[in-house]
Amino acid sequence: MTPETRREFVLESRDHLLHFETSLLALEKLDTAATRKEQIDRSLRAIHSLKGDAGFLGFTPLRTLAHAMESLLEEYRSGAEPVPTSVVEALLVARDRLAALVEDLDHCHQSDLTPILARLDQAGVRSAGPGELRLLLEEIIPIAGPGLVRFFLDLESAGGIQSPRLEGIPELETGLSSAAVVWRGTPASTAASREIERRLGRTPPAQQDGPASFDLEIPLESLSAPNGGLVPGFNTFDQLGNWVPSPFDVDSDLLAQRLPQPPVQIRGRLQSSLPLTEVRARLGLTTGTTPAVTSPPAIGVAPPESPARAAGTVTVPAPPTAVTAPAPTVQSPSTTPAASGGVPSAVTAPPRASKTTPAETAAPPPPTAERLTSLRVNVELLDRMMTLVGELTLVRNQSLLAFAEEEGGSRAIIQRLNSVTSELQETVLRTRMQPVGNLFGKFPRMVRDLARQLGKQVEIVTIGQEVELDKTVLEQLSDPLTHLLRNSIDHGLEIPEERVARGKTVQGTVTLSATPADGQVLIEIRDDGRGIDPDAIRNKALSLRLKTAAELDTMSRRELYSLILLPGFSTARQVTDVSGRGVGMDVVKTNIEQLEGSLTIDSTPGEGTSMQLRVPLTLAIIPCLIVEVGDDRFAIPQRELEEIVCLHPGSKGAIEHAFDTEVYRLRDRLLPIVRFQEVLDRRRPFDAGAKAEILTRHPPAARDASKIEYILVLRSRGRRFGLLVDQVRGTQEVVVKPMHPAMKRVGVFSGATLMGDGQVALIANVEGIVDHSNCFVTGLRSSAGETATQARDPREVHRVLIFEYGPREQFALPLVQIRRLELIQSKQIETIGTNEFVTLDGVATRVVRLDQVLQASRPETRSQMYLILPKFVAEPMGILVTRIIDTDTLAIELQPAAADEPGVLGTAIIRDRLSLFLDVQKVREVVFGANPLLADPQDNPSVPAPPGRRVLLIDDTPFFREVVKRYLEADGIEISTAVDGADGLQKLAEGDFDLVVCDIEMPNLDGWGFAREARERGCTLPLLALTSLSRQEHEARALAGGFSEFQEKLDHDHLLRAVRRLLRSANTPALAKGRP
Amino acid sequence: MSQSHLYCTFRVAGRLFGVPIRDVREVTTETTCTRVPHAPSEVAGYVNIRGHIYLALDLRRLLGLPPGTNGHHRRLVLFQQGVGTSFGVLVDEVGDIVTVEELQSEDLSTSAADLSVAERSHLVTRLCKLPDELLAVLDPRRFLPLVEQALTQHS
Repeated sequence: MTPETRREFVLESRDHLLHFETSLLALEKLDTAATRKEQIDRSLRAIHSLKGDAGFLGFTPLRTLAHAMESLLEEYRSGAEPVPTSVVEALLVARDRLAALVEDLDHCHQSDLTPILARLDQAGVRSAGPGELRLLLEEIIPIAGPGLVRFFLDLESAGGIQSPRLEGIPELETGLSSAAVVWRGTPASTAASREIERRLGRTPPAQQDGPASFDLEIPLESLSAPNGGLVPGFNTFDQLGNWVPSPFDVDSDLLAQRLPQPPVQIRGRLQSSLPLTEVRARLGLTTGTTPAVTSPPAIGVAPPESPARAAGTVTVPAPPTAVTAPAPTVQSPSTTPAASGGVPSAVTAPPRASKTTPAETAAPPPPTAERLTSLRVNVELLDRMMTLVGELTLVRNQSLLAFAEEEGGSRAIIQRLNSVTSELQETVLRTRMQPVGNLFGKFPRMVRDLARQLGKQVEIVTIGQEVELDKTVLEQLSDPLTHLLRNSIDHGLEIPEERVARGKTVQGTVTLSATPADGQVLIEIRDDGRGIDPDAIRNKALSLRLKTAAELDTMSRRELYSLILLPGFSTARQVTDVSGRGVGMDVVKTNIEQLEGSLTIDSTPGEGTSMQLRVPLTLAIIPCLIVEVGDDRFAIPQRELEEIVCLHPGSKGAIEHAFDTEVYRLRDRLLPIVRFQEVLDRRRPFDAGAKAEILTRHPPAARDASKIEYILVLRSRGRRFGLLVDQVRGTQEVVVKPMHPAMKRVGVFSGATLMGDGQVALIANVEGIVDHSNCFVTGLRSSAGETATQARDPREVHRVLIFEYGPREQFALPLVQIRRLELIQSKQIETIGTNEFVTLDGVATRVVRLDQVLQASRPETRSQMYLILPKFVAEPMGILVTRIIDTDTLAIELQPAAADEPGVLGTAIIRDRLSLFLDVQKVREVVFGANPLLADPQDNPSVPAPPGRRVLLIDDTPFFREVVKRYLEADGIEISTAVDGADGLQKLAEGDFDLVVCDIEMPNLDGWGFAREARERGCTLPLLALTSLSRQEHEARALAGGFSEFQEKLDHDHLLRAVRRLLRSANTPALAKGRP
Repeated sequence: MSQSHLYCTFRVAGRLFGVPIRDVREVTTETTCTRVPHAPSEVAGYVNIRGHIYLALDLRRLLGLPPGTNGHHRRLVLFQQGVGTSFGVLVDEVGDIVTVEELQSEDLSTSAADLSVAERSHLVTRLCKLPDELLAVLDPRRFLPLVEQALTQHS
């Protein structure tokens, strides 16, 4: 089996499992047979496909389990009776087990499935109860013939007979006894007992004991034609047996009209001593006239189809208890309410009936799109398609120019190329958009499980499933949403008794909704629980000394609630209503902000809480500060903004002249000032003359003291400067539209956007402004000194999660490496082979115990623990943690760990304790082995980089430098490091390298500058850009700026793949594609 | 039988100009232009037409005509995407659509279009002798290259 086949199997199985689960959950809410049957069929299809695949690929345990699940559900296929909760429960547990097996195929053969199979069996027995099978030997011998042993073997293979035994076998010494020898055994399920019954050649007692009954569905027409009219037809009918029900009612509305198409059917059950074929013959019905809507089992003999009856008939010689009980009949696809009640209705016009059936309208829409219409596509392929379409657009534009003058044939072709390209571009963009329903779909299960676990009754309502979001955004939303939802159920909703005491419904409701709002999507999680008491937050903030009483007084309620999101607030140790609410809210907030999104909380104590998440539709929407200069409005991206200083008549600070530059003293540091107005007015980049002119125009003394101005403190290339504007209008999320191609050369703007009033505003390009104003280029020595002081502290500031596993060590992990924190009960952990799993969101997540992967102490067993779900790890895994100590923003001096301490990146002192920084990728490797996903099927870099290659790594942050260095060294690459762009250039000149991996944001000389300079100096090496944020616009810029590729810093797999690829092709000239 | 052409006509500084009708996407009343600092004077700015951003060029400037006074009645002629990416020109007033027989006009385009050498005189490709007036036919494909060239020159 190739790894691809295996991977494909895993992916498909996940899909099947998801569909199985969704349908199963939907089942619980449905109350008509037809809708139930539909969902059961879906579930069965899914599990059956999985079973088939597993069997084909030789994963026998998976096949066995899937088979057992299928058999159990098969009992309820007709949908006639509701599937008991115990059965659903058993199936869900089995599903989880199956999911765990799928995720760990290597060990699936070692797993012990007996308990789960027994549970499925038991669920089947309890519900349908096939009785013990007791066979008299003499009864069997005529059927079995001489091969009695063979016969019993056959019997057992027919369906898992449990504890078979023979009774009444005489002692051999005493000779053959005349007493009856009885064989006893319990079939595993009713399906099995039916099969056995068939093999025994027994005919259902129904036919022996009394008239059989048939479900019939006959078009009126075919009844009247051969019998010479409808009345004689019915007369014949009456002679044949007992027709239930005899009177048939036709909607009077219906009679007023003509008989609708398709023809009116007569439906019901006929009890007759005649066999079905005979009945049909007497009625003049041929098989050809059998309406297609009549499903085969319904025409057939009903009794064996009923589980209840089947159970009764095999218990020999027990009295056939269930024989007379009429099995509820179901006519698929009829959805009449009457049918579900077991009382067959008489005449219905199918199209009309189905339209008015309440069950139809009440049935939820299928949660996920039908699989047949969709196809799995590699995301990287899609990304590449995006880039290629971009290029195609360029080619299109060029051809438009080139053939502009052509008349006739080629012109038409170009016009067509034009329209096709535009449409293609639009379509490809749309491939990235996915309905949020894809994400919402996984929550009902989670909510159900959590509710059971907590002993609460929760209903989840999802609204706006069809709202579409960029795939990347959607993926990154999954964890924050899961967390918020858990929070609502866990802490927001009250337990049933409390709810009742407060006069609320027993069942709590959590509403999850998505609404498009101004180019964003608003996702709201609203619960009708106890709400959050603002006073509690207030007191907490005071006790933690986060805010003063005066500050708190001026805060709005929303602002007050936003305090919950502050680091330290959420993980405080005292358990109160408030603090319990927020474990990991900090992580949620960090993740949402990375998406350029926002999170607000509102609550009415006693009535509920609403958490509102705003996320951009795509990442082409950025938050901006709207400013005014003269009469024009501009948008300044907030990413670059550090603070705003207001110059007003009362302010002490002023703009001063320092040689050729205006400066402002910002907390005793000199901030170079750039007047936006001057930048806008001057088309040419500032030279010495222009700078001098600006100084003369704005003498320090001449400042109009009454005028209010604003200095935006912006950071670019690791340095700060102040941009002087007239007015600040507030912040706004803007949709970035690129500059018109003819205007691309205008460097001070990066794009345009539409404002609320319909006017266009330009988006400033902060770096372009720096270039244009030359504000960092100055003859002043002190300014250089100012740069030096501004250079970042080598002890980089990180936001880290501090936690404990065993009692002896304190661990730490930066928040940027964490997807989510999950609170788990230790009894949720399942063991398969030697591995442990917890099912999270329907995915079996491998539990990693730190003492098993690195030298760490063992914790005592606890009932509740946390799982840290790391980012950038392809396999589902969670690191087990016993205690979350806190999250904090810390300056860390990382001491690299010794090489013989795998799994630990380095150590630092945090809160007076030595703390170990985890090397997540190493931990992953210890647990899962070398990453098979690194084998890129497209260009096969499963081959590690050629040995002896040297890479220059430039990054100013010790932490990241250490992380990336380890990633690459593990791949046999020799690493030299440099601490910033300038250092990098020097090292590049001194050493001999095959590849340069370079951070973008650095002091002294940033990544852009480094690439430009290196290319100018004739460096042809491949350059790989690294940033902590993956952003499309940066990527384009990196490629244009001389970089060969662009990767996200901590994304181990992609980074390593890119490095291998670049190293392998390092000698080919094709790589020098990006030129300065 | 000679070929005839359809032109969309408009007036700038009192003179009659036209562009081939198939190049025109739509004609709208001028909406507020957002000026683009650093852009050449031929660029009037960005306009928002039903949620799309177009670049509006000042035809008067483009043709090197004296600056006008009656700015408030101006119209915006938007061109098809095939002519150039999302752009249009501001004109003083829009005239009729006229049909001109090829024989009634003189071709001024000297060479096959070499758009890299954009000069103002190249903008007029044909002169049509209408009964009472001359119609100067412009090639809108040459507008954007001219602007880009202007931008390159002064930066």
